[in-house]
Amino acid sequence: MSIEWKRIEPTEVMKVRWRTLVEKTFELPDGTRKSYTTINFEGMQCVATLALTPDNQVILVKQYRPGPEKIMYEIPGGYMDAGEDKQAAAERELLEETGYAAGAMKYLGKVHKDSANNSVSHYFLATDCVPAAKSAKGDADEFIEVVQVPISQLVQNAHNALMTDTEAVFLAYEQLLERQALHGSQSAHTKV
Amino acid sequence: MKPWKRIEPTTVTKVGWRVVTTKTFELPDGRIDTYDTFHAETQHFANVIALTPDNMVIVARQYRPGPEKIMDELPGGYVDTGEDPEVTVRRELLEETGYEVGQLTYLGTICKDAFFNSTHHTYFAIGCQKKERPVLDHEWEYVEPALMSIGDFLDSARTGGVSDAPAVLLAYDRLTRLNEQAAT
Repeated sequence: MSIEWKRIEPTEVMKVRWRTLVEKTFELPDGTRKSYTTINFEGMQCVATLALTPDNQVILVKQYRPGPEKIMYEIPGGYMDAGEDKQAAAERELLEETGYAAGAMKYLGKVHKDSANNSVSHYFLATDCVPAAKSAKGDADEFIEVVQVPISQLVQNAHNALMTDTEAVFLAYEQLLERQALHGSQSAHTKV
Repeated sequence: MKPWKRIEPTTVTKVGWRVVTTKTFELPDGRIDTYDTFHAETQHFANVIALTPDNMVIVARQYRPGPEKIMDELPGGYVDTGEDPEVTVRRELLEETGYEVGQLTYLGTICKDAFFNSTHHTYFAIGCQKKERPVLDHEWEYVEPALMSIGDFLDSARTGGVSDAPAVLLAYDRLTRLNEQAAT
């Protein structure tokens, strides 16, 4: 029996303050109808960037996160504006949050973060990032701090739930290990 | 950097199967602010990257309503209240795929989103053997168990084919080591 579901009507969009939920209806393989509540609006797209300095330090935004309720070391990113190019969005968020501009941007891929989430996340690897903005959100916002860590620390953070875009580390893993090896000061593989 | 202080009130709004939890915090400068987060605060998940004795990855292929496509998913599911997540993954692997865990290792937890209350406990299992036909506990779970080579599974995770891609990172070194051993 096929395991494909068929999207049918009705669709109900609901809002809870700032959050959007979409109740979708599907026809299941046995012909029955079932509604399923998904989170975020359909078509939502996010971008985030693994940004490296010329000496392969990772630029992160240290901030308190209300879901996990702890201070985390996040890669810069945010929502794409309607009609915005994904790379332009990633470059904009990188500059706004950290004050850094990328030397080169490489698209890492697209991820569906969650099985009941309508949001799609696009990840980039930015290299040779240099300070470019006179001020960034990191300066103006007393609750966030722009920091730099070695690649080994980024990988350790990913293993210890100290960041939320772990997918980015997965997508860039081989490239990160190569850069770490070229840099020479740390071991090429993180002990797991 | 000071953490924020969680205070009252907390409002829980149920929308179908989903929950929005509105939390209140006192920020380091004394300001009070509210944030809408997804999932109940007691909601946690567990999943497993499970391998057969010949290092094939056992996936639970199923249609996912967010992405609206069939994906190569890690077996797993909700951790029942008070349940050890290790018990969850053993049960879910058997129910969804018919395979029994051989040897289980805890890899760690994933926080998927800055505004999610849920965490994902991730496990790694080797030597998993087929025991029975899958017996799914929910009538809407249409799951097709499948075996994938480590290379194909990693490719799927890299191209949006696995919704628990972060969990794959936690097993990455183990998976590539096993893949390299198989190639030699």
